[in-house]
Amino acid sequence: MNIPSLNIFAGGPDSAPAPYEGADGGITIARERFGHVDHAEHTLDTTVANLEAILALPAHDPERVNETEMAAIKSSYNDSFSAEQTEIVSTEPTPAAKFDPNDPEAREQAARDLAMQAHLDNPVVSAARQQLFDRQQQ
Amino acid sequence: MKKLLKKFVSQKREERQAELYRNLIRHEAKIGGQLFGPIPKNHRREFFCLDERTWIWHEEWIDGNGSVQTKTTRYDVRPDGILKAQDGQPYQRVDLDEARNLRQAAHEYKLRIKTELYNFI
Repeated sequence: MNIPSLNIFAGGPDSAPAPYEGADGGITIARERFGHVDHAEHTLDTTVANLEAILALPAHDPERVNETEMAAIKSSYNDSFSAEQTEIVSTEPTPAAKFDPNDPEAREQAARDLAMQAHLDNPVVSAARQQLFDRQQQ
Repeated sequence: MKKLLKKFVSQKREERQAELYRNLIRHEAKIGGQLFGPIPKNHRREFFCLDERTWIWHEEWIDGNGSVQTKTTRYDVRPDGILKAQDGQPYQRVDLDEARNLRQAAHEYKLRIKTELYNFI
C-alpha cells in the first residue's frame, strides 16, 4: 500500500548524507541548514518569551487590560481611530459567522475579530486581545 | 557550446545541493519524530523545522479498518504569537502551554540533530 506523504519526504535515499559530499559544497549546505534551525529555534524562543512577558504584565485586571488594549488600538490607528469607524467596521457581516447586526454582542465580537486581524502583527494589541479572548473562553 | 556545458554543470550542482538539503530535512524529521516518546506500532511520526518560522508535525497511522490516516500540523511562528493549522483548517492561536511545549521540543530538536546529524561541521 502506498502511504501518502508530504512532497518533502518523497523519493531520495534513506541514509544520512555523508560528510564527503562536501566536494559538492555539502558541508556548506549542512552548515546553512543547521544555521537555519538555530535561527528558527531562536525565533521561537524569543516569541514564547515575549508572550510570557506580555501576559505577565497587566496582572489579571480586565479593566486594565481594556485600557492597555484601547491605548494600543488608538496609537496604531493614529488619528484615524474613531467610534464612527468602529461602528462601520462592526456592521460588516462575516461569511463564517451568521452575523446579526441587531445583536450588540455579535457586533462587538465582529469588531474584535476584524481588529484582531488588522493588528495581528502588532504584538501588544494582539497579546491583549488574546488575553481577552482567553478570558471569554473560560 | 562551452557556455551551454557550463550552464548544465551549474544546474546539476544546484539540483544536487537541493537534493542534499531535502535529505538533511528528511533525517532531521526522523530524529524529530523520536522526541515525543515511543512511536506506536503502525505509526509514522515526523517533526521538523521547515524554515525560520515554520515547524511541522506529521503523523501517519493505520486505523482499525486498515485505512491510512494522516494528520499534519503546521506551526507558524510570528513575532506576536504562534499560529497553528491542521490539515488545511483555518489558523488558530496556540495557548501559552502549547507554545512552551513547542519551544522545549525545538531546543531538544536542535540538540539532537547537532549531535546526530551535524557533528561533522
